[in-house]
Amino acid sequence: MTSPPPDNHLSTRSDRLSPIPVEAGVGLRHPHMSDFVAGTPKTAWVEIHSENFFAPGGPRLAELDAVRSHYPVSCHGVGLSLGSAEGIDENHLSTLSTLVNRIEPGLVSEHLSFSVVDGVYVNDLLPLPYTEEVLAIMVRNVGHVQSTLGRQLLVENPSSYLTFAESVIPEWEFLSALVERTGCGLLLDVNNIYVSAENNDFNTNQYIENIPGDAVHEIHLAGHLVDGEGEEQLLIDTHSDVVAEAVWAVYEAALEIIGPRPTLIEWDTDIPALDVLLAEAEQAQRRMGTDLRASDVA
Amino acid sequence: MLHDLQKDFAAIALSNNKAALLGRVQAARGTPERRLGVYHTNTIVSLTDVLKAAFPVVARIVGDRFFVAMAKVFIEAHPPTQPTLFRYGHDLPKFLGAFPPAKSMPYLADVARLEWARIEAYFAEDRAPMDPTQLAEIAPEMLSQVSFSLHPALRLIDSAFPIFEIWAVNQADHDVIPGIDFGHAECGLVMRRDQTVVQRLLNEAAYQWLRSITTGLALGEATALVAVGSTNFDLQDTLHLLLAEGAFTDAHIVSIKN
Repeated sequence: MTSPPPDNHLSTRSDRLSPIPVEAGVGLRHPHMSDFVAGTPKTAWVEIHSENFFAPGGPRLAELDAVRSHYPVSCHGVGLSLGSAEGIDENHLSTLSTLVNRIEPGLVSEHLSFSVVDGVYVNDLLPLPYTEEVLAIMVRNVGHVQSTLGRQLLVENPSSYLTFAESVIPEWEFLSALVERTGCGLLLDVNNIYVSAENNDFNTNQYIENIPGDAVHEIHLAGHLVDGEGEEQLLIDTHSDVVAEAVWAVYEAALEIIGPRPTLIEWDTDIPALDVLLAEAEQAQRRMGTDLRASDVA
Repeated sequence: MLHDLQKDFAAIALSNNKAALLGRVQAARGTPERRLGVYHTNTIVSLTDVLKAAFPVVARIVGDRFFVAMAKVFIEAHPPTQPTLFRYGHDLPKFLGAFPPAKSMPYLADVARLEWARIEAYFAEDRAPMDPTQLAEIAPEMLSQVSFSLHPALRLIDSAFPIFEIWAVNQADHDVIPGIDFGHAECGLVMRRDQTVVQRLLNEAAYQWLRSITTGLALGEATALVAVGSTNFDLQDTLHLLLAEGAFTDAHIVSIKN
């Protein structure tokens, strides 16, 4: 099935569920808000951090409504804590559901990680051991989220700085099993694959070749930081810089192996001028190939 | 069990307490301590940034080094309890009031209360303020029995220190901070009007009147209460000001119990 990409500057809320086109988009961040409210930046779509719009009112929601009238929007969550042993916080899920009903996003995504334990929220995406016990918990939580929202959830691979001795399933197999058992999709963060591969010594191509490519409905790209020296050197997923050359190479491998997908530039720390951000998106667009712009996601 | 591991991991993220997990994690190179430490740094740095954004005036007053050190202590004692970080910082004013290194700045906790009131006003529910002409339609003899519904963004704040003035002179467009007389009290309100947070000083009598209204007293009761302690209360002026600020969403007649 092939459909032309929507013309964002003509699209309105009347095309209710604007799908995210197979093109490059950018993360919507506060310093650029007035530009996107006006609809002037030329980008195919934008992604929000869902939790930033969880307030019952105020200017942010009004701004988001205006942005949504100009662009397809994807909702990317950071606080649902899909890997929590204690299950999903119903209040949080219900607020997400309200936002999803209001914005009618093209995609909804979260992470393979946890951040809530005993009612305390840790503002980081903490890693999970990959075992049958944890897989069963993830399957239960993802299934619950999908049935509450009434739609597919994309699950993003994390960046990690360690592995657990008790892990018995490679991350790509864990994600494949999650897709198989829940029908969820995947958000492939190429920078995270690279960061984790460097930190934990695995091969990026082996990872990409072993995840179900048909389930990948979005790709993330971001900048990282090289921190420390010698044996203690680590790559840190900071979203604070341009995409590294080595990460562009992994992106091209992913395009080769999986095919083009909606691709997002994330930039969360030391946020640059808008044109710098848009130039990164243009670079992703070029690498995707303009002749592929009209092809649909598998 | 996963739950125990998650408790131990949260203890690392918030307090850098690594002992329980060192034997369960692996590092391809280097040490597990280094690897676990990344999660602690990420958590503290990101939450400190959240607090700095919510309390810019406090941050400016105390300076970056003090703020970062204070935030670390606060985060460990009061970690977020909701994954919605615009609600994180509610406990900071109280914490600052009891934080020994801040003792020489007795106004700091109240400045933080003002900043938190601004955050709450910013994120409050959208509601249209009442039409001021609604009051004119009420028969004069019934006015004393009028009770007001408050706008969800309305916050009242008072201090033994001039916190509104301290706030104003610590805005980015003030290069030179003029001398402040720290010896006078201030009270006022914070609101959101046309999607912008505003704050307004009130005189003591108007403030006490509004405070009574927020506890549910009717107009007549609140006015009688103010008259006990003050001679300079002007009901017309106060009503005019509060209606112009959009402090109320509705006015209705209540029956007063005798």
